[in-house]
Amino acid sequence: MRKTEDRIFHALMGLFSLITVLLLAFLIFFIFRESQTAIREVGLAELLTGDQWRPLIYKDAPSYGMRNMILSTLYVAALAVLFALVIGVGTALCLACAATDRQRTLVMPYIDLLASIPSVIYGFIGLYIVVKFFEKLGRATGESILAGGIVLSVMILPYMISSCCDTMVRIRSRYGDASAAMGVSKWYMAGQMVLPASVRGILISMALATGRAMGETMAVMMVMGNSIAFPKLLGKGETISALIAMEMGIAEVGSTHYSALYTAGLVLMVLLFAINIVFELLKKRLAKEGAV
Amino acid sequence: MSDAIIKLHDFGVAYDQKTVLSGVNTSIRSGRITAIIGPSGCGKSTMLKAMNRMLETQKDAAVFGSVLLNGVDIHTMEAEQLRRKVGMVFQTPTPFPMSVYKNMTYAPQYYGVTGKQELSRIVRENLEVTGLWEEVKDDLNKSALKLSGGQQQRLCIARALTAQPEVLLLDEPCSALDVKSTQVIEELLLKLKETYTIVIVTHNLFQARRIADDCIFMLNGELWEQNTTEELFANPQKKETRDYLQGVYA
Repeated sequence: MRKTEDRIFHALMGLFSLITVLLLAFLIFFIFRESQTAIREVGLAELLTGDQWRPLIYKDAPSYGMRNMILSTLYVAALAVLFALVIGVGTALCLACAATDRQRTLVMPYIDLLASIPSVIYGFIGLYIVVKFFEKLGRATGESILAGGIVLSVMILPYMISSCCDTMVRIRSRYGDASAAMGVSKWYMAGQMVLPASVRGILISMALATGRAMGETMAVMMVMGNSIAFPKLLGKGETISALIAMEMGIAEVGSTHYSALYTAGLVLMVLLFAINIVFELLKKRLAKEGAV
Repeated sequence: MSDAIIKLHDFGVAYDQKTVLSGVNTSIRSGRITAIIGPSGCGKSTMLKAMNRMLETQKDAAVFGSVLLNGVDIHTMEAEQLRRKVGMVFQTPTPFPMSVYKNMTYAPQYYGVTGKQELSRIVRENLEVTGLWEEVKDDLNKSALKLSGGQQQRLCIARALTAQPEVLLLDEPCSALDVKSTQVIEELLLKLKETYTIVIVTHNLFQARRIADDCIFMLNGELWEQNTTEELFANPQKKETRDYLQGVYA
Protein backbone atom coordinates (compact mmCIF):
# COMPACT_ATOMS: atom_id res chain seq x y z
CA MET A 1 0.00 0.00 0.00
CA ARG A 2 2.69 2.44 1.11
CA LYS A 3 4.73 1.65 -1.93
CA THR A 4 1.98 2.56 -4.35
CA GLU A 5 1.34 5.81 -2.53
CA ASP A 6 5.02 6.61 -2.62
CA ARG A 7 5.14 5.91 -6.32
CA ILE A 8 2.12 8.13 -7.04
CA PHE A 9 3.61 10.87 -4.91
CA HIS A 10 6.92 10.59 -6.74
CA ALA A 11 5.25 10.67 -10.12
CA LEU A 12 3.20 13.73 -9.17
CA MET A 13 6.22 15.61 -7.88
CA GLY A 14 8.15 14.71 -11.01
CA LEU A 15 5.31 15.96 -13.15
CA PHE A 16 5.06 19.28 -11.32
CA SER A 17 8.81 19.83 -11.55
CA LEU A 18 8.66 19.05 -15.25
CA ILE A 19 5.81 21.53 -15.72
CA THR A 20 7.83 24.25 -13.98
CA VAL A 21 10.86 23.63 -16.16
CA LEU A 22 8.75 23.45 -19.31
CA LEU A 23 7.00 26.66 -18.34
CA LEU A 24 10.31 28.47 -18.23
CA ALA A 25 11.46 26.87 -21.47
CA PHE A 26 8.23 27.83 -23.25
CA LEU A 27 8.42 31.34 -21.88
CA ILE A 28 11.88 31.85 -23.29
CA PHE A 29 10.97 30.12 -26.53
CA PHE A 30 7.82 32.18 -26.93
CA ILE A 31 9.54 35.52 -26.33
CA PHE A 32 12.31 34.47 -28.67
CA ARG A 33 9.91 33.42 -31.42
CA GLU A 34 7.69 36.50 -31.13
CA SER A 35 10.71 38.77 -31.40
CA GLN A 36 11.87 37.19 -34.66
CA THR A 37 9.68 39.35 -36.93
CA ALA A 38 11.23 42.57 -35.63
CA ILE A 39 14.74 41.20 -35.72
CA ARG A 40 14.23 40.08 -39.32
CA GLU A 41 12.54 43.26 -40.54
CA VAL A 42 14.43 45.91 -38.56
CA GLY A 43 17.70 44.11 -37.83
CA LEU A 44 19.17 43.41 -34.42
CA ALA A 45 21.81 46.13 -34.69
CA GLU A 46 19.25 48.81 -35.47
CA LEU A 47 16.98 47.58 -32.67
CA LEU A 48 19.75 47.74 -30.11
CA THR A 49 21.57 50.88 -31.17
CA GLY A 50 18.94 53.01 -32.87
CA ASP A 51 18.05 56.15 -30.96
CA GLN A 52 14.57 56.66 -32.34
CA TRP A 53 11.57 54.69 -31.12
CA ARG A 54 8.67 55.78 -33.31
CA PRO A 55 6.51 52.73 -33.76
CA LEU A 56 3.86 54.69 -35.66
CA ILE A 57 5.76 56.87 -38.08
CA TYR A 58 9.18 58.47 -38.40
CA LYS A 59 10.49 59.97 -41.65
CA ASP A 60 7.91 58.08 -43.69
CA ALA A 61 8.59 54.82 -41.89
CA PRO A 62 8.34 53.58 -38.29
CA SER A 63 11.58 53.26 -36.36
CA TYR A 64 12.38 50.86 -33.57
CA GLY A 65 15.65 51.84 -31.87
CA MET A 66 15.68 51.05 -28.18
CA ARG A 67 19.17 52.20 -27.24
CA ASN A 68 17.90 54.99 -24.97
CA MET A 69 15.54 52.64 -23.19
CA ILE A 70 18.30 50.12 -22.60
CA LEU A 71 20.56 52.85 -21.24
CA SER A 72 17.76 54.29 -19.09
CA THR A 73 17.11 50.88 -17.60
CA LEU A 74 20.76 50.37 -16.76
CA TYR A 75 21.16 53.93 -15.51
CA VAL A 76 18.20 53.93 -13.16
CA ALA A 77 18.99 50.43 -11.87
CA ALA A 78 22.62 51.34 -11.24
CA LEU A 79 21.60 54.51 -9.40
CA ALA A 80 19.09 52.61 -7.28
CA VAL A 81 21.55 49.86 -6.40
CA LEU A 82 24.21 52.44 -5.57
CA PHE A 83 21.91 54.37 -3.21
CA ALA A 84 20.56 51.19 -1.68
CA LEU A 85 24.06 49.79 -1.30
CA VAL A 86 25.27 52.72 0.79
CA ILE A 87 22.17 52.90 2.97
CA GLY A 88 21.52 49.17 3.06
CA VAL A 89 25.04 48.07 3.98
CA GLY A 90 25.24 50.77 6.63
CA THR A 91 21.91 49.79 8.13
CA ALA A 92 22.77 46.10 8.06
CA LEU A 93 26.15 46.73 9.66
CA CYS A 94 24.53 48.78 12.38
CA LEU A 95 21.83 46.18 13.04
CA ALA A 96 24.28 43.28 13.02
CA CYS A 97 27.11 44.77 15.06
CA ALA A 98 25.76 47.56 17.21
CA ALA A 99 22.14 46.71 17.94
CA THR A 100 21.25 44.14 20.57
CA ASP A 101 19.45 40.98 19.50
CA ARG A 102 16.26 42.42 20.92
CA GLN A 103 16.55 45.67 19.02
CA ARG A 104 17.26 43.79 15.83
CA THR A 105 14.27 41.47 16.15
CA LEU A 106 12.17 44.54 16.84
CA VAL A 107 13.31 46.50 13.78
CA MET A 108 13.66 43.74 11.17
CA PRO A 109 9.92 43.08 10.67
CA TYR A 110 9.37 46.75 9.85
CA ILE A 111 12.11 46.68 7.26
CA ASP A 112 10.66 43.51 5.76
CA LEU A 113 7.29 45.21 5.70
CA LEU A 114 8.71 47.75 3.23
CA ALA A 115 8.97 44.92 0.73
CA SER A 116 5.28 44.13 0.92
CA ILE A 117 4.05 47.59 -0.05
CA PRO A 118 2.62 47.48 -3.60
CA SER A 119 4.82 49.23 -6.11
CA VAL A 120 2.04 51.54 -7.26
CA ILE A 121 2.04 53.03 -3.75
CA TYR A 122 5.76 53.70 -4.06
CA GLY A 123 5.11 55.35 -7.42
CA PHE A 124 2.38 57.45 -5.94
CA ILE A 125 4.50 58.57 -2.98
CA GLY A 126 7.44 59.13 -5.30
CA LEU A 127 5.32 61.33 -7.49
CA TYR A 128 4.09 63.46 -4.62
CA ILE A 129 7.27 63.65 -2.58
CA VAL A 130 10.36 63.05 -4.72
CA VAL A 131 9.09 64.57 -7.96
CA LYS A 132 7.48 67.50 -6.11
CA PHE A 133 10.73 68.07 -4.24
CA PHE A 134 12.68 68.46 -7.47
CA GLU A 135 10.03 70.82 -8.80
CA LYS A 136 10.29 72.93 -5.65
CA LEU A 137 14.02 73.13 -6.25
CA GLY A 138 13.19 74.87 -9.48
CA ARG A 139 13.23 72.16 -12.12
CA ALA A 140 10.54 72.56 -14.72
CA THR A 141 9.59 68.98 -14.19
CA GLY A 142 10.70 66.72 -11.39
CA GLU A 143 10.14 63.51 -13.29
CA SER A 144 13.61 62.22 -13.94
CA ILE A 145 16.05 59.33 -13.91
CA LEU A 146 17.24 60.53 -10.49
CA ALA A 147 13.70 60.46 -9.09
CA GLY A 148 13.32 56.94 -10.47
CA GLY A 149 16.60 55.90 -8.89
CA ILE A 150 15.61 57.27 -5.51
CA VAL A 151 12.17 55.65 -5.47
CA LEU A 152 13.60 52.38 -6.73
CA SER A 153 16.35 52.40 -4.12
CA VAL A 154 13.78 52.54 -1.33
CA MET A 155 11.97 49.63 -2.93
CA ILE A 156 15.03 47.38 -3.07
CA LEU A 157 16.34 48.48 0.31
CA PRO A 158 14.53 45.82 2.36
CA TYR A 159 16.04 43.02 0.23
CA MET A 160 19.45 44.54 0.52
CA ILE A 161 19.24 45.05 4.28
CA SER A 162 17.83 41.68 5.22
CA SER A 163 20.20 39.69 3.04
CA CYS A 164 23.29 41.68 4.11
CA CYS A 165 22.18 41.58 7.73
CA ASP A 166 21.88 37.78 7.63
CA THR A 167 25.45 37.46 6.40
CA MET A 168 26.80 39.96 8.90
CA VAL A 169 24.99 38.47 11.88
CA ARG A 170 26.43 35.09 10.93
CA ILE A 171 29.95 36.51 10.80
CA ARG A 172 29.54 38.44 14.01
CA SER A 173 28.19 35.50 15.98
CA ARG A 174 31.09 33.39 14.75
CA TYR A 175 33.94 35.84 15.30
CA GLY A 176 32.46 38.50 17.58
CA ASP A 177 33.65 36.95 20.84
CA ALA A 178 37.15 36.37 19.50
CA SER A 179 37.27 40.00 18.46
CA ALA A 180 35.87 41.33 21.73
CA ALA A 181 38.37 39.19 23.65
CA MET A 182 41.17 41.19 22.02
CA GLY A 183 39.86 44.37 23.56
CA VAL A 184 38.79 46.08 20.33
CA SER A 185 35.57 48.07 20.03
CA LYS A 186 32.55 46.81 18.13
CA TRP A 187 32.83 49.60 15.57
CA TYR A 188 36.38 48.60 14.78
CA MET A 189 35.16 45.04 14.42
CA ALA A 190 32.33 46.19 12.15
CA GLY A 191 34.63 48.12 9.84
CA GLN A 192 37.74 45.97 9.86
CA MET A 193 36.30 42.50 10.02
CA VAL A 194 32.57 42.15 9.49
CA LEU A 195 32.40 44.46 6.48
CA PRO A 196 35.32 42.99 4.51
CA ALA A 197 34.18 39.48 5.36
CA SER A 198 30.69 40.22 4.06
CA VAL A 199 31.73 41.34 0.58
CA ARG A 200 30.49 38.12 -0.98
CA GLY A 201 27.16 38.35 0.77
CA ILE A 202 26.88 41.98 -0.28
CA LEU A 203 27.54 41.03 -3.91
CA ILE A 204 24.81 38.42 -3.80
CA SER A 205 22.35 40.93 -2.40
CA MET A 206 23.40 43.41 -5.10
CA ALA A 207 22.70 40.82 -7.79
CA LEU A 208 19.25 40.19 -6.37
CA ALA A 209 18.59 43.90 -6.01
CA THR A 210 19.72 44.63 -9.57
CA GLY A 211 17.34 42.01 -10.85
CA ARG A 212 14.47 43.57 -8.99
CA ALA A 213 15.44 47.10 -9.95
CA MET A 214 15.61 46.31 -13.66
CA GLY A 215 12.34 44.46 -13.71
CA GLU A 216 10.37 46.94 -11.63
CA THR A 217 7.81 48.72 -13.79
CA MET A 218 5.01 50.60 -12.15
CA ALA A 219 6.73 52.90 -9.67
CA VAL A 220 9.47 53.77 -12.12
CA MET A 221 6.98 54.48 -14.88
CA MET A 222 5.15 56.90 -12.59
CA VAL A 223 8.14 59.06 -11.68
CA MET A 224 10.44 58.95 -14.71
CA GLY A 225 8.46 60.90 -17.23
CA ASN A 226 8.68 58.24 -19.96
CA SER A 227 10.43 60.14 -22.67
CA ILE A 228 12.54 58.28 -25.18
CA ALA A 229 15.32 60.86 -24.85
CA PHE A 230 18.90 59.90 -24.12
CA PRO A 231 19.02 59.41 -20.34
CA LYS A 232 20.44 62.24 -18.25
CA LEU A 233 20.47 62.31 -14.46
CA LEU A 234 17.88 65.08 -14.22
CA GLY A 235 16.20 64.37 -17.53
CA LYS A 236 13.26 62.14 -18.29
CA GLY A 237 13.75 58.60 -19.38
CA GLU A 238 11.88 55.41 -20.06
CA THR A 239 12.87 51.93 -18.99
CA ILE A 240 12.36 48.80 -21.06
CA SER A 241 9.76 47.46 -18.67
CA ALA A 242 7.84 50.74 -18.78
CA LEU A 243 8.01 50.70 -22.59
CA ILE A 244 6.49 47.24 -22.73
CA ALA A 245 3.85 48.01 -20.14
CA MET A 246 2.71 51.16 -21.90
CA GLU A 247 2.73 50.00 -25.49
CA MET A 248 1.84 46.33 -25.42
CA GLY A 249 -1.85 47.19 -25.07
CA ILE A 250 -1.95 49.30 -28.20
CA ALA A 251 0.34 47.26 -30.44
CA GLU A 252 -1.44 45.26 -33.11
CA VAL A 253 -0.89 41.53 -32.57
CA GLY A 254 1.58 40.19 -35.11
CA SER A 255 2.80 43.62 -36.20
CA THR A 256 6.43 44.70 -36.23
CA HIS A 257 5.68 46.99 -33.27
CA TYR A 258 4.32 44.03 -31.31
CA SER A 259 7.35 41.95 -32.18
CA ALA A 260 9.74 44.78 -31.33
CA LEU A 261 8.22 44.95 -27.85
CA TYR A 262 8.96 41.25 -27.48
CA THR A 263 12.51 41.95 -28.54
CA ALA A 264 12.65 44.55 -25.78
CA GLY A 265 11.58 41.85 -23.34
CA LEU A 266 14.23 39.54 -24.70
CA VAL A 267 16.88 42.24 -24.29
CA LEU A 268 15.81 42.78 -20.67
CA MET A 269 16.11 39.07 -19.99
CA VAL A 270 19.52 38.81 -21.60
CA LEU A 271 20.74 41.89 -19.69
CA LEU A 272 19.64 40.41 -16.37
CA PHE A 273 21.21 37.12 -17.27
CA ALA A 274 24.49 38.82 -18.17
CA ILE A 275 24.53 40.87 -14.98
CA ASN A 276 23.92 37.78 -12.88
CA ILE A 277 26.82 36.06 -14.61
CA VAL A 278 29.09 39.00 -13.84
CA PHE A 279 28.13 38.91 -10.16
CA GLU A 280 28.62 35.16 -10.12
CA LEU A 281 32.11 35.51 -11.59
CA LEU A 282 33.00 38.21 -9.05
CA LYS A 283 31.79 35.93 -6.29
CA LYS A 284 33.90 33.04 -7.58
CA ARG A 285 36.93 35.26 -7.85
CA LEU A 286 36.49 36.39 -4.25
CA ALA A 287 36.06 32.80 -3.13
CA LYS A 288 39.39 32.01 -4.74
CA GLU A 289 41.01 34.77 -2.75
CA GLY A 290 39.65 33.17 0.37
CA ALA A 291 36.89 35.42 1.61
CA VAL A 292 33.98 33.64 3.27
CA MET B 1 56.25 31.18 45.65
CA SER B 2 55.29 33.65 42.90
CA ASP B 3 52.76 36.41 43.43
CA ALA B 4 49.09 36.19 42.73
CA ILE B 5 48.18 38.11 39.58
CA ILE B 6 44.46 37.32 39.64
CA LYS B 7 42.39 36.94 42.79
CA LEU B 8 38.76 35.91 43.09
CA HIS B 9 36.84 36.87 46.26
CA ASP B 10 33.54 35.19 47.08
CA PHE B 11 32.99 35.04 43.39
CA GLY B 12 29.77 33.71 41.94
CA VAL B 13 27.81 33.71 38.67
CA ALA B 14 24.14 33.12 37.95
CA TYR B 15 22.53 32.69 34.54
CA ASP B 16 18.94 33.68 34.47
CA GLN B 17 18.77 33.40 38.29
CA LYS B 18 20.23 29.90 38.24
CA THR B 19 23.49 29.78 40.17
CA VAL B 20 26.30 28.16 38.21
CA LEU B 21 29.23 29.30 40.28
CA SER B 22 29.36 30.32 43.92
CA GLY B 23 31.69 31.12 46.77
CA VAL B 24 34.89 30.92 44.75
CA ASN B 25 38.00 32.20 46.51
CA THR B 26 41.26 31.63 44.73
CA SER B 27 44.46 33.14 43.42
CA ILE B 28 46.16 32.59 40.10
CA ARG B 29 49.91 32.83 40.49
CA SER B 30 51.86 34.74 37.90
CA GLY B 31 54.35 33.09 35.56
CA ARG B 32 52.75 29.69 35.95
CA ILE B 33 50.25 27.53 34.17
CA THR B 34 47.08 26.97 36.14
CA ALA B 35 44.72 24.28 34.91
CA ILE B 36 41.05 24.28 35.77
CA ILE B 37 39.66 20.76 35.68
CA GLY B 38 36.38 19.13 36.58
CA PRO B 39 33.38 17.33 35.06
CA SER B 40 31.35 19.06 32.33
CA GLY B 41 28.94 21.66 33.58
CA CYS B 42 30.94 22.31 36.75
CA GLY B 43 31.58 25.96 35.90
CA LYS B 44 35.15 25.74 34.53
CA SER B 45 34.53 27.83 31.44
CA THR B 46 32.31 30.24 33.32
CA MET B 47 35.09 30.93 35.78
CA LEU B 48 37.56 31.45 32.96
CA LYS B 49 35.28 33.82 31.10
CA ALA B 50 34.74 35.81 34.27
CA MET B 51 38.42 36.70 34.34
CA ASN B 52 38.23 38.89 31.23
CA ARG B 53 34.57 39.75 31.59
CA MET B 54 33.58 37.82 28.48
CA LEU B 55 30.59 36.66 30.50
CA GLU B 56 29.09 40.05 29.80
CA THR B 57 28.56 39.15 26.16
CA GLN B 58 26.15 36.47 27.34
CA LYS B 59 22.83 37.85 28.31
CA ASP B 60 21.29 37.29 31.70
CA ALA B 61 24.62 36.52 33.35
CA ALA B 62 24.80 38.08 36.81
CA VAL B 63 28.13 38.27 38.60
CA PHE B 64 28.76 38.44 42.37
CA GLY B 65 31.87 39.04 44.43
CA SER B 66 35.03 40.49 42.95
CA VAL B 67 37.87 39.65 40.63
CA LEU B 68 41.15 41.48 41.14
CA LEU B 69 43.84 41.85 38.49
CA ASN B 70 47.07 43.05 40.10
CA GLY B 71 44.95 44.22 43.02
CA VAL B 72 42.50 46.23 40.92
CA ASP B 73 38.87 45.18 40.68
CA ILE B 74 38.33 44.33 37.02
CA HIS B 75 34.77 45.63 37.13
CA THR B 76 36.09 49.13 37.71
CA MET B 77 38.22 48.90 34.57
CA GLU B 78 37.16 49.48 30.98
CA ALA B 79 36.37 46.08 29.45
CA GLU B 80 38.63 46.90 26.48
CA GLN B 81 41.56 47.73 28.75
CA LEU B 82 41.04 44.57 30.76
CA ARG B 83 40.86 42.34 27.71
CA ARG B 84 44.01 43.84 26.37
CA LYS B 85 45.76 42.65 29.52
CA VAL B 86 43.94 39.36 29.74
CA GLY B 87 43.80 37.62 26.35
CA MET B 88 41.70 34.64 25.46
CA VAL B 89 41.82 31.66 23.11
CA PHE B 90 38.67 29.70 22.44
CA GLN B 91 37.78 26.05 22.15
CA THR B 92 37.28 26.03 18.39
CA PRO B 93 39.97 27.88 16.45
CA THR B 94 38.53 31.21 15.33
CA PRO B 95 40.91 32.79 12.83
CA PHE B 96 39.18 35.79 11.28
CA PRO B 97 38.19 35.33 7.63
CA MET B 98 41.12 37.35 6.32
CA SER B 99 44.80 36.86 5.62
CA VAL B 100 47.25 35.56 8.21
CA TYR B 101 48.95 38.96 8.20
CA LYS B 102 45.71 40.86 8.79
CA ASN B 103 44.75 38.49 11.58
CA MET B 104 47.99 39.43 13.26
CA THR B 105 47.70 43.19 12.75
CA TYR B 106 44.01 43.37 13.71
CA ALA B 107 44.56 44.29 17.35
CA PRO B 108 47.84 46.26 17.05
CA GLN B 109 46.28 48.55 14.45
CA TYR B 110 43.41 49.20 16.81
CA TYR B 111 45.86 50.08 19.56
CA GLY B 112 47.42 52.64 17.26
CA VAL B 113 50.44 50.88 15.77
CA THR B 114 50.71 52.26 12.25
CA GLY B 115 54.28 51.89 11.00
CA LYS B 116 54.64 49.18 8.42
CA GLN B 117 57.95 48.02 9.84
CA GLU B 118 56.61 47.98 13.36
CA LEU B 119 53.60 45.95 12.28
CA SER B 120 55.76 43.48 10.37
CA ARG B 121 57.92 43.09 13.45
CA ILE B 122 54.92 42.32 15.65
CA VAL B 123 53.62 39.82 13.11
CA ARG B 124 56.95 38.11 12.79
CA GLU B 125 57.86 37.97 16.48
CA ASN B 126 54.56 36.55 17.60
CA LEU B 127 54.39 34.05 14.77
CA GLU B 128 57.91 32.98 15.64
CA VAL B 129 56.98 32.43 19.27
CA THR B 130 54.19 30.10 18.22
CA GLY B 131 56.41 28.33 15.71
CA LEU B 132 54.13 29.30 12.87
CA TRP B 133 56.54 31.69 11.19
CA GLU B 134 58.50 29.03 9.36
CA GLU B 135 55.29 27.49 8.09
CA VAL B 136 53.60 30.63 6.79
CA LYS B 137 56.33 33.22 6.20
CA ASP B 138 56.23 32.83 2.41
CA ASP B 139 52.51 33.28 2.24
CA LEU B 140 51.38 35.78 4.84
CA ASN B 141 48.61 36.94 2.52
CA LYS B 142 47.05 33.51 2.44
CA SER B 143 43.61 33.27 3.99
CA ALA B 144 43.88 32.13 7.59
CA LEU B 145 40.95 29.81 6.97
CA LYS B 146 43.19 27.69 4.73
CA LEU B 147 45.51 26.74 7.57
CA SER B 148 45.12 23.37 9.27
CA GLY B 149 43.23 23.15 12.56
CA GLY B 150 46.40 23.05 14.65
CA GLN B 151 47.92 25.95 12.72
CA GLN B 152 44.71 27.93 13.13
CA GLN B 153 44.80 27.47 16.88
CA ARG B 154 48.44 28.51 17.04
CA LEU B 155 47.54 31.54 14.95
CA CYS B 156 44.83 32.37 17.47
CA ILE B 157 47.38 32.15 20.28
CA ALA B 158 49.82 34.31 18.32
CA ARG B 159 47.02 36.76 17.60
CA ALA B 160 46.12 36.96 21.28
CA LEU B 161 49.78 37.72 22.03
CA THR B 162 49.80 40.70 19.64
CA ALA B 163 47.82 42.59 22.28
CA GLN B 164 50.75 42.04 24.67
CA PRO B 165 48.63 40.59 27.45
CA GLU B 166 49.86 39.67 30.94
CA VAL B 167 47.53 36.72 31.26
CA LEU B 168 46.41 34.26 28.61
CA LEU B 169 43.16 32.38 29.16
CA LEU B 170 42.62 29.21 27.14
CA ASP B 171 39.29 27.42 27.02
CA GLU B 172 39.95 23.77 26.10
CA PRO B 173 42.21 24.90 23.25
CA CYS B 174 43.08 21.38 22.12
CA SER B 175 39.70 19.69 22.22
CA ALA B 176 39.20 20.15 18.47
CA LEU B 177 42.75 19.11 17.56
CA ASP B 178 44.57 15.87 16.85
CA VAL B 179 47.30 14.39 19.05
CA LYS B 180 50.20 15.88 17.13
CA SER B 181 48.79 19.41 17.11
CA THR B 182 47.92 19.07 20.77
CA GLN B 183 51.51 18.20 21.54
CA VAL B 184 52.79 21.21 19.61
CA ILE B 185 50.44 23.51 21.49
CA GLU B 186 51.37 22.04 24.87
CA GLU B 187 55.06 22.62 24.16
CA LEU B 188 54.20 26.13 23.09
CA LEU B 189 52.33 26.84 26.33
CA LEU B 190 55.26 25.57 28.40
CA LYS B 191 57.46 28.03 26.52
CA LEU B 192 54.99 30.88 26.90
CA LYS B 193 54.71 30.64 30.68
CA GLU B 194 58.11 32.28 30.95
CA THR B 195 56.52 35.49 29.69
CA TYR B 196 52.83 35.12 30.35
CA THR B 197 50.61 33.79 33.09
CA ILE B 198 48.46 31.03 31.64
CA VAL B 199 45.11 29.72 32.79
CA ILE B 200 43.80 26.74 30.87
CA VAL B 201 40.50 24.94 31.13
CA THR B 202 40.85 21.32 30.12
CA HIS B 203 38.83 18.15 30.35
CA ASN B 204 41.98 16.20 29.69
CA LEU B 205 43.57 15.19 33.01
CA PHE B 206 46.74 14.00 31.33
CA GLN B 207 47.11 17.38 29.71
CA ALA B 208 46.68 19.13 33.06
CA ARG B 209 49.27 16.85 34.53
CA ARG B 210 51.72 17.35 31.67
CA ILE B 211 51.73 21.13 31.57
CA ALA B 212 50.12 22.70 34.64
CA ASP B 213 51.99 23.92 37.70
CA ASP B 214 48.81 24.53 39.67
CA CYS B 215 45.50 22.80 39.43
CA ILE B 216 42.00 23.85 40.39
CA PHE B 217 39.35 21.16 40.68
CA MET B 218 35.80 22.39 40.24
CA LEU B 219 32.63 20.52 41.10
CA ASN B 220 28.99 21.58 40.99
CA GLY B 221 29.83 25.25 40.60
CA GLU B 222 32.23 25.32 43.51
CA LEU B 223 35.96 25.37 43.81
CA TRP B 224 36.42 21.97 45.37
CA GLU B 225 40.13 21.72 45.77
CA GLN B 226 43.23 23.62 44.67
CA ASN B 227 46.88 22.76 44.93
CA THR B 228 50.03 22.40 42.93
CA THR B 229 49.42 19.85 40.20
CA GLU B 230 51.87 17.44 41.74
CA GLU B 231 50.20 17.56 45.14
CA LEU B 232 46.68 17.45 43.81
CA PHE B 233 47.29 14.37 41.72
CA ALA B 234 49.45 12.61 44.32
CA ASN B 235 47.49 13.57 47.40
CA PRO B 236 43.92 14.66 46.77
CA GLN B 237 42.42 15.82 50.05
CA LYS B 238 38.80 15.21 49.24
CA LYS B 239 37.01 12.06 48.22
CA GLU B 240 35.32 13.61 45.17
CA THR B 241 38.63 14.88 43.84
CA ARG B 242 40.16 11.46 44.23
CA ASP B 243 37.19 9.82 42.52
CA TYR B 244 37.39 12.25 39.63
CA LEU B 245 41.12 11.84 39.18
CA GLN B 246 40.67 8.09 39.19
CA GLY B 247 37.98 8.31 36.57
CA VAL B 248 35.07 7.27 38.78
CA TYR B 249 32.94 9.92 37.05
CA ALA B 250 33.59 12.23 34.16
